[in-house]
Amino acid sequence: MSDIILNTEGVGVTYQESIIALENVSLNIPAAKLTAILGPSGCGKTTLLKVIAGLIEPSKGLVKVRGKEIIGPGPDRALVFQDFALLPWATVLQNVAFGLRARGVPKKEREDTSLHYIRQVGLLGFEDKYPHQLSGGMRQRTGLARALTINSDILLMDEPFSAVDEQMRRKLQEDLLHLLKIESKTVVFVTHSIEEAVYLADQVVILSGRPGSIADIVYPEIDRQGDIDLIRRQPGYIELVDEIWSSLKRYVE
Amino acid sequence: MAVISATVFAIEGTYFLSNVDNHSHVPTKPETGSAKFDTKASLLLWRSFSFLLVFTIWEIAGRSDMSIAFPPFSDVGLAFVSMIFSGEFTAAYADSLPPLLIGLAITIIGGVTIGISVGLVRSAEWFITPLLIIFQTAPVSALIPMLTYIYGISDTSKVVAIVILGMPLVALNSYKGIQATSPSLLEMSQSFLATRFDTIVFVILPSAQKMIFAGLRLGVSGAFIGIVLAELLITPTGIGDLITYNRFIARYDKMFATIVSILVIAGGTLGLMRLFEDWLFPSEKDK
Repeated sequence: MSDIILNTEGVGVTYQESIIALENVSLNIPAAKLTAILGPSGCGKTTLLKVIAGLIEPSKGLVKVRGKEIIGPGPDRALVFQDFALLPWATVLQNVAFGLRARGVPKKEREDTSLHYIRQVGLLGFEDKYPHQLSGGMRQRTGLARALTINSDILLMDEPFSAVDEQMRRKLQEDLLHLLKIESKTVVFVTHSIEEAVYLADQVVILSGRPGSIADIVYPEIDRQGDIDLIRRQPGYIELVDEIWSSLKRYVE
Repeated sequence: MAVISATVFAIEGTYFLSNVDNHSHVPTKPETGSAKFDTKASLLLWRSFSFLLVFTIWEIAGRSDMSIAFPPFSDVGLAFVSMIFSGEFTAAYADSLPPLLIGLAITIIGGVTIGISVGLVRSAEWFITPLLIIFQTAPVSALIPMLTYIYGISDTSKVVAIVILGMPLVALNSYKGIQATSPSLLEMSQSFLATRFDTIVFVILPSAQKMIFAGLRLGVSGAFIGIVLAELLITPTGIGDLITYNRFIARYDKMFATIVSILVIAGGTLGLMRLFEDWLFPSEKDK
Protein backbone atom coordinates (compact mmCIF):
# COMPACT_ATOMS: atom_id res chain seq x y z
CA MET A 1 0.00 0.00 0.00
CA SER A 2 1.26 3.45 -0.89
CA ASP A 3 1.90 6.39 1.44
CA ILE A 4 -0.85 7.64 3.67
CA ILE A 5 -1.66 11.25 2.76
CA LEU A 6 -4.64 11.74 5.06
CA ASN A 7 -5.88 9.99 8.15
CA THR A 8 -8.57 10.38 10.75
CA GLU A 9 -8.02 9.37 14.36
CA GLY A 10 -11.03 8.43 16.48
CA VAL A 11 -13.31 10.97 14.82
CA GLY A 12 -16.70 11.38 16.48
CA VAL A 13 -19.41 13.90 15.71
CA THR A 14 -22.26 14.61 18.07
CA TYR A 15 -25.06 17.01 17.19
CA GLN A 16 -27.01 18.89 19.86
CA GLU A 17 -25.24 16.96 22.60
CA SER A 18 -27.28 13.82 22.03
CA ILE A 19 -27.46 12.82 18.37
CA ILE A 20 -24.37 10.80 17.54
CA ALA A 21 -23.64 11.01 13.81
CA LEU A 22 -20.18 9.46 13.79
CA GLU A 23 -18.34 7.36 16.33
CA ASN A 24 -14.67 6.50 16.55
CA VAL A 25 -13.76 6.63 12.88
CA SER A 26 -10.08 5.96 12.31
CA LEU A 27 -9.21 5.80 8.68
CA ASN A 28 -6.12 5.88 6.46
CA ILE A 29 -6.39 7.40 3.01
CA PRO A 30 -3.59 6.27 0.67
CA ALA A 31 -2.08 8.86 -1.65
CA ALA A 32 -2.99 8.87 -5.35
CA LYS A 33 -5.70 6.26 -4.76
CA LEU A 34 -9.45 6.44 -4.83
CA THR A 35 -11.20 5.73 -1.55
CA ALA A 36 -14.95 5.29 -1.49
CA ILE A 37 -16.98 5.85 1.66
CA LEU A 38 -20.03 3.65 1.37
CA GLY A 39 -22.99 3.28 3.66
CA PRO A 40 -26.75 3.38 4.01
CA SER A 41 -28.42 6.79 3.93
CA GLY A 42 -28.16 8.68 7.19
CA CYS A 43 -25.04 6.81 8.29
CA GLY A 44 -22.96 9.97 8.46
CA LYS A 45 -20.84 9.49 5.35
CA THR A 46 -21.33 13.07 4.19
CA THR A 47 -20.62 14.23 7.74
CA LEU A 48 -17.34 12.30 7.64
CA LEU A 49 -16.41 13.93 4.33
CA LYS A 50 -17.22 17.38 5.71
CA VAL A 51 -15.08 16.67 8.75
CA ILE A 52 -12.23 15.75 6.42
CA ALA A 53 -12.92 18.91 4.39
CA GLY A 54 -12.69 20.97 7.56
CA LEU A 55 -16.26 22.25 7.28
CA ILE A 56 -17.45 20.41 10.39
CA GLU A 57 -15.35 20.37 13.52
CA PRO A 58 -15.33 16.88 15.02
CA SER A 59 -16.52 16.60 18.62
CA LYS A 60 -13.88 13.96 19.22
CA GLY A 61 -10.69 12.95 17.46
CA LEU A 62 -8.79 14.70 14.70
CA VAL A 63 -7.94 14.71 11.01
CA LYS A 64 -4.37 14.85 9.75
CA VAL A 65 -3.06 15.67 6.31
CA ARG A 66 0.52 14.42 5.86
CA GLY A 67 0.72 13.95 9.61
CA LYS A 68 -0.35 17.51 10.44
CA GLU A 69 -3.64 18.17 12.15
CA ILE A 70 -6.04 20.26 10.09
CA ILE A 71 -7.89 23.31 11.34
CA GLY A 72 -10.71 24.10 8.93
CA PRO A 73 -10.56 23.93 5.14
CA GLY A 74 -7.16 24.10 3.49
CA PRO A 75 -5.51 24.47 0.08
CA ASP A 76 -4.60 20.76 0.14
CA ARG A 77 -8.24 19.67 -0.19
CA ALA A 78 -10.82 20.55 -2.87
CA LEU A 79 -14.48 19.70 -2.59
CA VAL A 80 -17.04 18.59 -5.19
CA PHE A 81 -20.63 19.00 -4.01
CA GLN A 82 -23.63 16.75 -4.33
CA ASP A 83 -25.87 19.67 -5.34
CA PHE A 84 -23.06 21.17 -7.49
CA ALA A 85 -23.03 24.42 -5.43
CA LEU A 86 -22.63 26.59 -8.51
CA LEU A 87 -23.32 30.32 -8.38
CA PRO A 88 -26.44 30.67 -10.57
CA TRP A 89 -25.61 34.24 -11.59
CA ALA A 90 -22.08 33.38 -12.73
CA THR A 91 -20.94 31.78 -15.99
CA VAL A 92 -19.19 28.41 -16.15
CA LEU A 93 -15.87 30.23 -16.45
CA GLN A 94 -16.57 32.45 -13.44
CA ASN A 95 -17.73 29.46 -11.41
CA VAL A 96 -14.68 27.39 -12.30
CA ALA A 97 -12.41 30.34 -11.47
CA PHE A 98 -14.03 30.91 -8.05
CA GLY A 99 -11.35 29.13 -6.04
CA LEU A 100 -8.54 30.94 -7.86
CA ARG A 101 -10.29 34.28 -7.42
CA ALA A 102 -10.57 33.63 -3.70
CA ARG A 103 -6.82 33.01 -3.71
CA GLY A 104 -6.22 36.36 -5.38
CA VAL A 105 -4.93 34.94 -8.69
CA PRO A 106 -4.92 37.68 -11.39
CA LYS A 107 -7.77 37.58 -13.91
CA LYS A 108 -5.80 36.51 -16.98
CA GLU A 109 -4.02 33.71 -15.17
CA ARG A 110 -7.13 32.34 -13.47
CA GLU A 111 -9.05 32.38 -16.76
CA ASP A 112 -6.24 30.51 -18.55
CA THR A 113 -6.08 27.89 -15.80
CA SER A 114 -9.88 27.60 -15.68
CA LEU A 115 -10.12 27.15 -19.44
CA HIS A 116 -7.52 24.42 -19.27
CA TYR A 117 -9.65 22.44 -16.81
CA ILE A 118 -12.89 23.31 -18.59
CA ARG A 119 -11.34 21.62 -21.62
CA GLN A 120 -10.24 18.66 -19.51
CA VAL A 121 -13.72 17.97 -18.21
CA GLY A 122 -15.11 18.33 -21.73
CA LEU A 123 -16.94 21.63 -21.36
CA LEU A 124 -15.01 23.74 -23.85
CA GLY A 125 -17.46 25.95 -25.72
CA PHE A 126 -19.74 26.23 -22.70
CA GLU A 127 -17.58 28.58 -20.64
CA ASP A 128 -19.93 31.53 -21.14
CA LYS A 129 -23.11 29.61 -20.31
CA TYR A 130 -24.95 29.95 -17.03
CA PRO A 131 -25.65 26.92 -14.82
CA HIS A 132 -29.38 26.96 -15.63
CA GLN A 133 -28.50 26.47 -19.29
CA LEU A 134 -26.57 23.26 -18.54
CA SER A 135 -27.66 19.67 -17.94
CA GLY A 136 -27.03 18.03 -14.56
CA GLY A 137 -23.99 16.22 -15.91
CA MET A 138 -22.50 19.41 -17.29
CA ARG A 139 -23.12 21.19 -13.99
CA GLN A 140 -21.18 18.54 -12.13
CA ARG A 141 -18.37 18.75 -14.70
CA THR A 142 -18.26 22.47 -13.86
CA GLY A 143 -18.04 21.59 -10.15
CA LEU A 144 -15.25 19.13 -10.88
CA ALA A 145 -13.32 21.65 -12.99
CA ARG A 146 -13.61 24.19 -10.16
CA ALA A 147 -12.14 21.67 -7.72
CA LEU A 148 -9.30 20.82 -10.14
CA THR A 149 -8.21 24.43 -10.77
CA ILE A 150 -6.87 24.96 -7.29
CA ASN A 151 -4.50 22.04 -7.85
CA SER A 152 -4.86 20.46 -4.44
CA ASP A 153 -3.64 16.90 -3.99
CA ILE A 154 -6.82 15.66 -2.38
CA LEU A 155 -10.18 15.72 -4.10
CA LEU A 156 -13.20 15.22 -1.84
CA MET A 157 -16.40 14.27 -3.65
CA ASP A 158 -19.77 14.17 -1.89
CA GLU A 159 -22.06 11.84 -3.85
CA PRO A 160 -21.05 13.76 -6.95
CA PHE A 161 -23.03 11.73 -9.46
CA SER A 162 -26.17 11.00 -7.45
CA ALA A 163 -28.12 13.95 -8.88
CA VAL A 164 -27.71 12.85 -12.52
CA ASP A 165 -29.41 10.06 -14.45
CA GLU A 166 -28.00 6.55 -14.79
CA GLN A 167 -26.46 6.92 -18.26
CA MET A 168 -24.86 10.24 -17.41
CA ARG A 169 -23.55 8.74 -14.16
CA ARG A 170 -21.76 5.96 -16.09
CA LYS A 171 -20.28 8.49 -18.47
CA LEU A 172 -19.10 10.71 -15.62
CA GLN A 173 -17.60 7.71 -13.80
CA GLU A 174 -15.64 6.72 -16.90
CA ASP A 175 -14.53 10.29 -17.47
CA LEU A 176 -13.38 10.54 -13.86
CA LEU A 177 -11.20 7.44 -14.28
CA HIS A 178 -9.76 8.87 -17.51
CA LEU A 179 -9.08 12.15 -15.78
CA LEU A 180 -7.35 10.50 -12.84
CA LYS A 181 -4.96 8.82 -15.27
CA ILE A 182 -3.82 12.30 -16.33
CA GLU A 183 -4.05 14.10 -12.99
CA SER A 184 -2.57 12.24 -10.08
CA LYS A 185 -5.02 12.90 -7.26
CA THR A 186 -6.05 11.32 -4.03
CA VAL A 187 -9.80 11.00 -4.16
CA VAL A 188 -12.19 10.46 -1.27
CA PHE A 189 -15.58 9.71 -2.67
CA VAL A 190 -18.88 9.38 -0.81
CA THR A 191 -21.48 7.16 -2.43
CA HIS A 192 -24.47 5.02 -1.61
CA SER A 193 -23.96 2.87 -4.70
CA ILE A 194 -22.07 -0.39 -4.16
CA GLU A 195 -21.43 -0.74 -7.90
CA GLU A 196 -20.03 2.76 -8.09
CA ALA A 197 -17.73 2.10 -5.13
CA VAL A 198 -16.38 -1.16 -6.54
CA TYR A 199 -16.10 0.28 -10.04
CA LEU A 200 -14.12 3.34 -9.02
CA ALA A 201 -12.36 2.71 -5.74
CA ASP A 202 -9.11 1.10 -4.66
CA GLN A 203 -10.33 1.10 -1.10
CA VAL A 204 -13.97 0.87 -0.02
CA VAL A 205 -14.78 1.98 3.52
CA ILE A 206 -18.12 0.59 4.64
CA LEU A 207 -19.88 2.54 7.36
CA SER A 208 -22.50 1.01 9.60
CA GLY A 209 -25.85 2.63 10.24
CA ARG A 210 -26.31 5.44 12.72
CA PRO A 211 -24.16 6.19 14.59
CA GLY A 212 -21.72 5.76 11.71
CA SER A 213 -18.61 3.77 12.43
CA ILE A 214 -16.37 1.68 10.24
CA ALA A 215 -17.95 -1.73 9.64
CA ASP A 216 -15.45 -3.03 7.13
CA ILE A 217 -12.81 -1.99 4.64
CA VAL A 218 -12.40 -3.87 1.37
CA TYR A 219 -9.82 -3.44 -1.36
CA PRO A 220 -11.24 -4.20 -4.80
CA GLU A 221 -8.21 -5.43 -6.71
CA ILE A 222 -9.50 -4.41 -10.03
CA ASP A 223 -7.21 -3.55 -12.88
CA ARG A 224 -8.07 -0.06 -14.08
CA GLN A 225 -4.96 0.40 -16.18
CA GLY A 226 -6.46 -1.28 -19.22
CA ASP A 227 -9.74 -0.68 -20.96
CA ILE A 228 -12.23 1.07 -18.67
CA ASP A 229 -15.12 -0.58 -20.51
CA LEU A 230 -13.95 -3.98 -19.30
CA ILE A 231 -13.92 -3.20 -15.56
CA ARG A 232 -17.43 -4.49 -14.98
CA ARG A 233 -16.57 -7.77 -16.74
CA GLN A 234 -13.51 -8.52 -14.66
CA PRO A 235 -13.58 -11.66 -12.57
CA GLY A 236 -14.32 -10.74 -8.98
CA TYR A 237 -16.34 -7.59 -9.79
CA ILE A 238 -19.77 -9.17 -9.30
CA GLU A 239 -18.59 -11.27 -6.35
CA LEU A 240 -17.26 -8.21 -4.58
CA VAL A 241 -20.49 -6.29 -5.12
CA ASP A 242 -22.39 -9.25 -3.61
CA GLU A 243 -19.97 -9.53 -0.74
CA ILE A 244 -20.32 -5.85 0.16
CA TRP A 245 -24.09 -6.08 -0.11
CA SER A 246 -24.24 -8.98 2.31
CA SER A 247 -22.13 -7.10 4.84
CA LEU A 248 -24.12 -3.90 4.36
CA LYS A 249 -27.57 -5.45 4.31
CA ARG A 250 -28.00 -5.63 8.06
CA TYR A 251 -27.56 -1.84 8.41
CA VAL A 252 -30.25 -1.02 5.91
CA GLU A 253 -33.61 -0.22 7.52
CA MET B 1 -60.56 58.31 3.92
CA ALA B 2 -61.96 57.06 0.61
CA VAL B 3 -59.41 59.15 -1.20
CA ILE B 4 -56.58 57.72 0.80
CA SER B 5 -57.55 54.17 0.08
CA ALA B 6 -58.00 55.06 -3.59
CA THR B 7 -54.50 56.52 -3.60
CA VAL B 8 -53.07 53.51 -1.86
CA PHE B 9 -54.83 51.26 -4.31
CA ALA B 10 -53.56 53.31 -7.23
CA ILE B 11 -49.96 53.11 -6.07
CA GLU B 12 -50.14 49.45 -5.29
CA GLY B 13 -51.68 48.98 -8.69
CA THR B 14 -48.57 50.51 -10.23
CA TYR B 15 -46.42 48.22 -8.24
CA PHE B 16 -48.15 45.16 -9.57
CA LEU B 17 -48.08 46.48 -13.10
CA SER B 18 -44.37 47.13 -12.96
CA ASN B 19 -43.89 43.77 -11.36
CA VAL B 20 -45.18 42.06 -14.48
CA ASP B 21 -41.64 42.55 -15.77
CA ASN B 22 -40.52 39.73 -13.52
CA HIS B 23 -42.44 37.24 -15.55
CA SER B 24 -41.68 38.73 -18.91
CA HIS B 25 -38.26 37.05 -18.78
CA VAL B 26 -39.70 33.60 -18.44
CA PRO B 27 -40.89 32.90 -21.97
CA THR B 28 -37.85 34.52 -23.58
CA LYS B 29 -35.51 31.57 -23.17
CA PRO B 30 -32.56 31.21 -25.54
CA GLU B 31 -34.52 31.56 -28.75
CA THR B 32 -33.89 33.19 -32.07
CA GLY B 33 -33.95 36.96 -32.24
CA SER B 34 -37.26 37.21 -34.07
CA ALA B 35 -39.04 34.84 -31.68
CA LYS B 36 -37.81 36.93 -28.77
CA PHE B 37 -39.10 40.05 -30.47
CA ASP B 38 -42.47 38.42 -31.12
CA THR B 39 -42.89 37.52 -27.45
CA LYS B 40 -41.96 41.02 -26.39
CA ALA B 41 -44.27 42.62 -28.94
CA SER B 42 -47.20 40.43 -27.99
CA LEU B 43 -46.56 41.12 -24.31
CA LEU B 44 -46.66 44.84 -25.00
CA LEU B 45 -49.88 44.35 -26.94
CA TRP B 46 -51.51 42.46 -24.07
CA ARG B 47 -50.42 45.08 -21.58
CA SER B 48 -51.82 47.88 -23.68
CA PHE B 49 -55.01 45.88 -23.96
CA SER B 50 -55.14 45.59 -20.16
CA PHE B 51 -54.83 49.37 -19.80
CA LEU B 52 -57.44 49.89 -22.50
CA LEU B 53 -59.82 47.54 -20.71
CA VAL B 54 -59.50 49.40 -17.40
CA PHE B 55 -59.94 52.79 -19.08
CA THR B 56 -62.98 51.58 -21.02
CA ILE B 57 -64.68 50.23 -17.92
CA TRP B 58 -63.80 53.46 -16.12
CA GLU B 59 -65.28 55.51 -18.97
CA ILE B 60 -68.51 53.47 -19.02
CA ALA B 61 -68.85 53.53 -15.23
CA GLY B 62 -68.14 57.27 -15.16
CA ARG B 63 -70.76 57.99 -17.80
CA SER B 64 -73.44 56.01 -15.98
CA ASP B 65 -75.10 57.98 -13.20
CA MET B 66 -73.18 56.20 -10.49
CA SER B 67 -71.93 59.25 -8.64
CA ILE B 68 -70.97 62.78 -9.38
CA ALA B 69 -67.73 62.05 -7.53
CA PHE B 70 -66.72 59.50 -10.17
CA PRO B 71 -66.03 61.28 -13.44
CA PRO B 72 -65.41 59.32 -16.66
CA PHE B 73 -61.83 58.63 -17.77
CA SER B 74 -61.95 61.16 -20.61
CA ASP B 75 -62.71 64.03 -18.20
CA VAL B 76 -59.86 62.97 -15.95
CA GLY B 77 -57.52 62.74 -18.94
CA LEU B 78 -58.46 66.26 -20.06
CA ALA B 79 -58.03 67.58 -16.52
CA PHE B 80 -54.63 65.88 -16.37
CA VAL B 81 -53.43 67.64 -19.52
CA SER B 82 -54.85 70.99 -18.45
CA MET B 83 -53.18 70.76 -15.04
CA ILE B 84 -49.80 70.11 -16.66
CA PHE B 85 -50.09 73.30 -18.70
CA SER B 86 -51.71 75.45 -16.00
CA GLY B 87 -48.74 74.83 -13.72
CA GLU B 88 -50.86 73.28 -10.94
CA PHE B 89 -48.78 70.08 -11.03
CA THR B 90 -45.52 72.00 -11.16
CA ALA B 91 -46.43 74.03 -8.09
CA ALA B 92 -47.68 71.02 -6.13
CA TYR B 93 -44.70 68.81 -6.97
CA ALA B 94 -42.28 71.62 -6.18
CA ASP B 95 -43.62 71.28 -2.62
CA SER B 96 -43.84 67.50 -2.53
CA LEU B 97 -40.77 66.34 -4.41
CA PRO B 98 -37.97 67.64 -2.14
CA PRO B 99 -39.21 65.81 1.00
CA LEU B 100 -40.12 62.80 -1.17
CA LEU B 101 -36.60 62.57 -2.61
CA ILE B 102 -34.93 63.03 0.78
CA GLY B 103 -37.28 60.45 2.31
CA LEU B 104 -36.65 58.01 -0.56
CA ALA B 105 -32.88 58.40 -0.22
CA ILE B 106 -33.03 57.68 3.53
CA THR B 107 -35.47 54.79 2.96
CA ILE B 108 -33.28 53.15 0.31
CA ILE B 109 -29.83 53.73 1.77
CA GLY B 110 -30.88 53.26 5.40
CA GLY B 111 -33.12 50.27 4.71
CA VAL B 112 -30.59 48.37 2.63
CA THR B 113 -27.79 49.14 5.07
CA ILE B 114 -29.79 48.07 8.12
CA GLY B 115 -31.17 44.95 6.38
CA ILE B 116 -27.78 43.77 5.13
CA SER B 117 -26.00 44.52 8.40
CA VAL B 118 -28.58 42.67 10.45
CA GLY B 119 -28.50 39.77 7.98
CA LEU B 120 -24.73 39.50 8.25
CA VAL B 121 -24.31 40.07 11.98
CA ARG B 122 -26.09 37.39 13.94
CA SER B 123 -25.86 39.31 17.21
CA ALA B 124 -27.89 42.22 15.81
CA GLU B 125 -30.71 39.95 14.71
CA TRP B 126 -32.59 39.55 18.01
CA PHE B 127 -32.63 43.29 18.50
CA ILE B 128 -33.80 44.60 15.17
CA THR B 129 -36.10 41.92 13.75
CA PRO B 130 -39.01 42.37 16.20
CA LEU B 131 -38.87 46.12 15.63
CA LEU B 132 -39.00 45.69 11.87
CA ILE B 133 -41.89 43.26 12.08
CA ILE B 134 -43.83 45.62 14.35
CA PHE B 135 -43.28 48.50 11.94
CA GLN B 136 -44.22 46.35 8.98
CA THR B 137 -47.50 45.10 10.40
CA ALA B 138 -48.63 48.00 12.58
CA PRO B 139 -51.15 50.42 11.02
CA VAL B 140 -48.49 53.08 10.79
CA SER B 141 -50.81 55.48 8.98
CA ALA B 142 -52.70 55.85 12.27
CA LEU B 143 -49.52 57.13 13.87
CA ILE B 144 -48.72 59.67 11.20
CA PRO B 145 -50.83 62.52 12.68
CA MET B 146 -48.79 62.06 15.88
CA LEU B 147 -45.71 63.20 13.98
CA THR B 148 -47.14 66.70 14.04
CA TYR B 149 -46.65 66.81 17.81
CA ILE B 150 -42.98 66.06 17.38
CA TYR B 151 -41.94 67.75 14.16
CA GLY B 152 -44.77 70.24 13.64
CA ILE B 153 -46.16 71.07 10.24
CA SER B 154 -42.92 70.76 8.33
CA ASP B 155 -41.03 68.87 5.66
CA THR B 156 -39.40 66.88 8.43
CA SER B 157 -42.78 65.36 9.28
CA LYS B 158 -43.18 64.32 5.65
CA VAL B 159 -39.71 62.80 5.50
CA VAL B 160 -40.33 60.86 8.72
CA ALA B 161 -43.69 59.63 7.43
CA ILE B 162 -42.02 58.37 4.24
CA VAL B 163 -39.22 56.68 6.14
CA ILE B 164 -41.43 54.86 8.65
CA LEU B 165 -43.67 53.58 5.86
CA GLY B 166 -40.90 52.62 3.46
CA MET B 167 -37.81 51.67 5.39
CA PRO B 168 -39.07 48.63 7.35
CA LEU B 169 -40.08 46.98 4.06
CA VAL B 170 -36.68 47.60 2.52
CA ALA B 171 -34.77 46.51 5.63
CA LEU B 172 -36.85 43.39 6.25
CA ASN B 173 -36.61 42.16 2.67
CA SER B 174 -32.88 42.86 2.47
CA TYR B 175 -32.43 40.98 5.73
CA LYS B 176 -34.47 38.04 4.49
CA GLY B 177 -32.53 38.01 1.22
CA ILE B 178 -29.23 37.76 3.10
CA GLN B 179 -30.59 35.03 5.37
CA ALA B 180 -31.86 33.02 2.39
CA THR B 181 -28.36 32.49 0.96
CA SER B 182 -27.99 28.78 0.17
CA PRO B 183 -26.00 27.05 2.95
CA SER B 184 -24.41 24.89 0.28
CA LEU B 185 -23.00 27.96 -1.51
CA LEU B 186 -21.67 29.26 1.80
CA GLU B 187 -19.95 25.94 2.44
CA MET B 188 -18.56 26.02 -1.08
CA SER B 189 -17.17 29.48 -0.52
CA GLN B 190 -15.68 28.46 2.79
CA SER B 191 -14.12 25.30 1.41
CA PHE B 192 -12.46 27.27 -1.41
CA LEU B 193 -10.94 29.50 1.25
CA ALA B 194 -12.78 32.69 0.29
CA THR B 195 -12.43 35.45 2.86
CA ARG B 196 -15.53 36.72 4.63
CA PHE B 197 -15.38 39.83 2.46
CA ASP B 198 -15.17 37.81 -0.79
CA THR B 199 -18.02 35.59 0.39
CA ILE B 200 -20.18 38.65 1.00
CA VAL B 201 -19.33 40.29 -2.33
CA PHE B 202 -19.36 37.23 -4.58
CA VAL B 203 -21.89 34.94 -2.89
CA ILE B 204 -24.18 36.57 -0.34
CA LEU B 205 -24.99 39.90 -2.00
CA PRO B 206 -25.64 38.52 -5.51
CA SER B 207 -27.77 35.82 -3.92
CA ALA B 208 -29.81 38.40 -1.99
CA GLN B 209 -30.09 40.78 -4.94
CA LYS B 210 -33.59 39.74 -6.04
CA MET B 211 -35.04 40.02 -2.53
CA ILE B 212 -33.29 43.34 -1.92
CA PHE B 213 -34.74 44.81 -5.09
CA ALA B 214 -38.18 43.38 -4.32
CA GLY B 215 -37.91 45.15 -0.95
CA LEU B 216 -36.83 48.36 -2.65
CA ARG B 217 -39.86 48.27 -4.93
CA LEU B 218 -42.17 47.74 -1.93
CA GLY B 219 -40.30 50.45 -0.02
CA VAL B 220 -40.62 52.96 -2.84
CA SER B 221 -44.35 52.23 -3.06
CA GLY B 222 -44.52 52.71 0.71
CA ALA B 223 -42.66 55.99 0.40
CA PHE B 224 -45.21 57.31 -2.11
CA ILE B 225 -48.04 56.29 0.20
CA GLY B 226 -46.14 58.02 3.02
CA ILE B 227 -45.84 61.38 1.26
CA VAL B 228 -49.51 61.39 0.24
CA LEU B 229 -50.67 60.40 3.72
CA ALA B 230 -48.46 63.04 5.31
CA GLU B 231 -49.81 65.73 3.03
CA LEU B 232 -53.40 64.64 3.56
CA LEU B 233 -53.20 64.18 7.31
CA ILE B 234 -50.56 66.59 8.58
CA THR B 235 -49.47 69.33 6.25
CA PRO B 236 -51.99 70.44 3.64
CA THR B 237 -49.37 71.29 1.02
CA GLY B 238 -48.15 69.97 -2.29
CA ILE B 239 -49.80 67.05 -3.92
CA GLY B 240 -51.91 66.10 -0.89
CA ASP B 241 -53.32 69.60 -0.80
CA LEU B 242 -54.14 69.42 -4.50
CA ILE B 243 -56.21 66.30 -3.81
CA THR B 244 -57.96 67.78 -0.76
CA TYR B 245 -58.61 71.15 -2.35
CA ASN B 246 -60.13 69.70 -5.51
CA ARG B 247 -62.28 67.39 -3.44
CA PHE B 248 -63.61 70.34 -1.43
CA ILE B 249 -64.50 72.35 -4.52
CA ALA B 250 -65.97 69.19 -6.11
CA ARG B 251 -63.57 69.17 -9.06
CA TYR B 252 -63.38 65.39 -8.99
CA ASP B 253 -61.84 65.23 -12.46
CA LYS B 254 -58.86 67.22 -11.17
CA MET B 255 -58.73 65.17 -7.98
CA PHE B 256 -58.49 61.94 -9.94
CA ALA B 257 -56.01 63.51 -12.36
CA THR B 258 -53.77 64.28 -9.38
CA ILE B 259 -53.99 60.68 -8.20
CA VAL B 260 -53.16 59.52 -11.73
CA SER B 261 -50.11 61.81 -11.72
CA ILE B 262 -48.83 60.11 -8.54
CA LEU B 263 -49.45 56.77 -10.20
CA VAL B 264 -47.45 57.82 -13.26
CA ILE B 265 -44.54 59.11 -11.19
CA ALA B 266 -44.50 56.07 -8.89
CA GLY B 267 -44.67 53.76 -11.91
CA GLY B 268 -41.88 55.68 -13.62
CA THR B 269 -39.70 55.43 -10.50
CA LEU B 270 -40.25 51.69 -10.26
CA GLY B 271 -39.43 51.34 -13.97
CA LEU B 272 -36.20 53.27 -13.49
CA MET B 273 -35.31 50.95 -10.61
CA ARG B 274 -35.87 47.96 -12.88
CA LEU B 275 -33.49 49.47 -15.44
CA PHE B 276 -30.95 50.13 -12.69
CA GLU B 277 -31.21 46.52 -11.51
CA ASP B 278 -30.71 45.20 -15.05
CA TRP B 279 -27.74 47.50 -15.48
CA LEU B 280 -26.23 46.41 -12.17
CA PHE B 281 -26.75 42.68 -12.81
CA PRO B 282 -26.71 42.21 -16.58
CA SER B 283 -26.50 38.40 -16.33
CA GLU B 284 -30.01 38.24 -14.89
CA LYS B 285 -31.40 39.52 -18.18
CA ASP B 286 -30.55 36.30 -20.00
CA LYS B 287 -32.74 34.21 -17.78
